[in-house]
Amino acid sequence: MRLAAGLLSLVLLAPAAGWAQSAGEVERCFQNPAACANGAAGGSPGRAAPAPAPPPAPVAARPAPAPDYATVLNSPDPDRRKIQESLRTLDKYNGPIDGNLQSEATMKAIADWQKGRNTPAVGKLTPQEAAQLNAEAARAPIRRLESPPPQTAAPVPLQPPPPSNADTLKALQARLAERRKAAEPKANAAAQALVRDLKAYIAADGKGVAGDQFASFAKWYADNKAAGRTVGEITPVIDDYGDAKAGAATTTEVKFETKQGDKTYGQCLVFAWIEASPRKNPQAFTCDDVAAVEKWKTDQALKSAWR
Amino acid sequence: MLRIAASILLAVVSFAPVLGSTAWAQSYGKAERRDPIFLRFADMANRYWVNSETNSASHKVVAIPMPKQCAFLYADAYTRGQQSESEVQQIAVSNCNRRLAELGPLGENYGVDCRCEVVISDERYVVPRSSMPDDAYGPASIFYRDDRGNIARLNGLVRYGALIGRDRSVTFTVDNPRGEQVCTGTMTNESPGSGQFSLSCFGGKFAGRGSYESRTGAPNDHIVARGQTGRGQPVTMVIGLPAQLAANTYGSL
Repeated sequence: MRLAAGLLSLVLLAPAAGWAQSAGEVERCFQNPAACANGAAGGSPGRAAPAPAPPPAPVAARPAPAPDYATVLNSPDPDRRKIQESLRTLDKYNGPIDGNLQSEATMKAIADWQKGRNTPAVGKLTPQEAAQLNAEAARAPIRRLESPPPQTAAPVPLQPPPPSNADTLKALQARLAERRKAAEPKANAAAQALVRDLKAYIAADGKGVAGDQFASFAKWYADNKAAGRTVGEITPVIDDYGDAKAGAATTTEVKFETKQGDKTYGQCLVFAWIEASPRKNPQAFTCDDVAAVEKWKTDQALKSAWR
Repeated sequence: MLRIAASILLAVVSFAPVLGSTAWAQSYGKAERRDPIFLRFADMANRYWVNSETNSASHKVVAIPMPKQCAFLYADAYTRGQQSESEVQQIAVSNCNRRLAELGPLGENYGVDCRCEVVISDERYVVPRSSMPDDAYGPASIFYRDDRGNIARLNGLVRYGALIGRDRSVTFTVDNPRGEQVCTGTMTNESPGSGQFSLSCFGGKFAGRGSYESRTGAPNDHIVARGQTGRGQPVTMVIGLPAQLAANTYGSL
């Protein structure tokens, strides 16, 4: 039973474990995401190896000549070192740069590179392959640290892959909806209290706490009065609500129906304040003054529970 | 008659590009306070719409690097009386180009040539509204150190549809310089200038999470996000600085 569970977990972890996450691999995937998004091109999942070459066209029954490995093996020392450098650049080789192409580490690195190209992993290179290897390394934008920092920390155990962004966003939206629902009673109460104060101020023809606290509203009322407009229906819509540094902050868009003769005009103000008695940091803005409202929220360090 | 009509049409078509090339010759509608460019650059919105000295200037001009994905900075210029509209436009473009030059080349981030252009002049758009940035864009760099100590430096551009630091949660995408979407992510603010981020690239094969903070002022407003991959390897993302500046400032992880 345990063995089965172990095998199952191995299978589940395989995609994450299979992808090496080497810096070179990550850079290549960034440059060519199509090669990485859907798993492997080449042997191991996620490797950004070039697509396998199409099979050669059939030719007349003439045996293919044996591959020429001797040329590269007998090439000048700088050329052989260059091949080791290229293998290192491509994250295949971590041994010494000594020009020995027949060392176990170098042959394994060459075989790895060949496997990634879907070519026979023989561990030796033809001149064409050597040129392709060097060219590939020259294209790879890798910057290697000369002296890697010592690995003193214990190896980090493999973790299951983190949830996708879509899932994270969905969970976040669900949490926000829950938080907003919890905040609704307080926010509604705050908005209704404001509307009561606004109505009282209008009923008293420009006297009361609403005008004392919201100077812009008092001016707005005076301007309308001077223009011969009366205020009718008042409709609040909560714009934002949440904790701020000085207490619970509310911003509410209030629509006023104003009348002049037989004409009706819709007008709109945004009221912002911190809940307290009297209200703290109260301000009123015109509804198109979005930037100023947002700045007020930023100044209050509002952590929204509303949106 | 038909010949006359045809020649008039030809003349209009021929002159259209010439008219379009002079910023003050065409208008593409009135600038509004709620337009994305003012929401993106709040300080500029304040100068343009609120501050009594600049708000009432006789000429008000805004220049940004274009095309729209390059618009991660801006220059606004205001004057009273003395200067002509075209002179104020030149000042705005020149200030915008100077800011770009100070930050360094953008070639590692963008596959397009980013050049400053006047986009608003005297409260009217002088480029088509469809060419204006509809989202927030900027250069982005991701630095990742693997378990062998090798560092990957990934440079491209980021796009996000809301205001990081103001909206509670902001999703973003990272494109490579060829314009291919490579990564997606989320930033969730905990205070106006900081919060948590997550990043997922290549269909989830490379992912990281951690915290971010906004940094304002010189050399340019930017965001730096630091975290780890699922395997505990460090990953840093910088938004708002060109590749070389980002690498010099944060590239050593």
